[in-house]
Amino acid sequence: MNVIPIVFSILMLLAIITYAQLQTFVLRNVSRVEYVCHMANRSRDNINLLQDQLYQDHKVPGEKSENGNRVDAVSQVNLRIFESEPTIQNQIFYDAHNEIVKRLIDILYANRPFYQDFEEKRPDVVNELWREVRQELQREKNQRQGIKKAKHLANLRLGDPELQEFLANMLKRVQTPESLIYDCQSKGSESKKAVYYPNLIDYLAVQSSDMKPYRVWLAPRPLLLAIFQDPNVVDAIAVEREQLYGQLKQVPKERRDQVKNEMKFTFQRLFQNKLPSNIPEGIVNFDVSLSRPRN
Amino acid sequence: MQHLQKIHRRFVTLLEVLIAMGLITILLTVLLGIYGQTVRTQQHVEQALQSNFQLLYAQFRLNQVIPTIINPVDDKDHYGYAFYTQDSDSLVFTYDNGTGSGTFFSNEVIGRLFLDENKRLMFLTWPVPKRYPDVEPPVRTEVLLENVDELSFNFYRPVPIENKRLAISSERATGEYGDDFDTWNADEEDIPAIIRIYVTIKGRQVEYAFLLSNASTPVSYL
Repeated sequence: MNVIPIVFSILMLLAIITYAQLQTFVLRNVSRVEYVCHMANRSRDNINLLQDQLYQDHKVPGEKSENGNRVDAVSQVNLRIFESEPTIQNQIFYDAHNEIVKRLIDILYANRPFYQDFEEKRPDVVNELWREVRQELQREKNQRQGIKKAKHLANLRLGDPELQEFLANMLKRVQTPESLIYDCQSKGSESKKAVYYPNLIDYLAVQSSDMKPYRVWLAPRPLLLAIFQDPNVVDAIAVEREQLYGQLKQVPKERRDQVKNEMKFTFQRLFQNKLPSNIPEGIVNFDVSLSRPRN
Repeated sequence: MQHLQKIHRRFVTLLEVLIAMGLITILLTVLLGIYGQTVRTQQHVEQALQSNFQLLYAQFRLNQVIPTIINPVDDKDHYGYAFYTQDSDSLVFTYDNGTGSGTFFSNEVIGRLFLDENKRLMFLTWPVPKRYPDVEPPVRTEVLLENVDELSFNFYRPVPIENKRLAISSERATGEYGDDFDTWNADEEDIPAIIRIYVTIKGRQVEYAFLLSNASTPVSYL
């Protein structure tokens, strides 16, 4: 029966072909299932992001103290400042705000590949960008009463296409690579929440043209870092304001204004002298309130 | 003689060849039958998945866009926000495209959802014209679905209520029902609380529904 090896050879060949086909079929379907899962997760992330933005955009009246005074300070960089050239009176403060924004950009994006690529190509890119942005803000102000919201920074038309691209990269909402990997086996609440890189827009606002001081009590960490330029000081501020907030909550309403004042002076005494020499003292405000600091 | 016999036995006899061919024919028939069936099933699955992927992609994209529709009453800077239907199968609206799409396509942009002559569900985006009065506005074109037979819309506007929000629990809606419309005029100066988009592909109707939180009387599910 010499024919048996031939029959077996043909059978083996057919088995190999069938196995290869099956593997391709299985692989294709596995990748489809992953894709469907990914799309479903991205859809959910979009809805979550949208709801989050709606929440952020929903303005509530600012907190007033019991005696009706509102704290005259901001926890974001006010773009309105840059819509006009500095005057002799405000030159020092203008320069300080300007430096804070540039440092903030560096703090937020220094680890992102696009930023590193641009910096390699054009070492002074942040200075160049911010100069162009300021010019455009002034032009907008002259032509159409200025931009209305910080997000409209994305609509500015810069003269330099490279800087335009740099700005667009900065303002994109980008999910971190880790949070983009979904576990398709987990269901519902077990699945991961989308995490986005910090975005400059979240630290900017368009308010009145006054150069209001930054409120250390409510300022987010990157902004504090841009002001104080020392991570240890920023950590200490975060700990201190959390402690003060915990204590303030326990205080009865009738004594609250008095305690707030006492706390303000304690807070100020601790951190006013930690300001770098190039930052004028009046650029920060140490008022304490019942708004919870965001650490 | 023994040696010759051995050499003679190495040849394949006609009977063996016939048996082998018979076996191979039977095996091939069985295997090709199974293989053919698998290929046919795979083609069916492929078609079904293709159509579902298209639907899934359209849903994904519409989910990004429709809930961010901006109400024309919020057009404080007179950029020309819009929300209206044209010929019952075309919807024009202003939406918030976020900050990551470059100068022209960031933030408030105009979108148009319609069925073209090639039966494709098209989605066009262009900048709010009044923002860039000195340039020809660029247009971004996307194909969301192919082989679409019909596209229609349904708009729901609840009766305005005191706290400006219609709450719908799993049991029943509170407040009066409101009105449904198939078209929406530009002079309404408001947007509906719910949009339903009906797409018919090869006789199968698919419905997409979205809540618009920027409506004057939005709906919230409890």
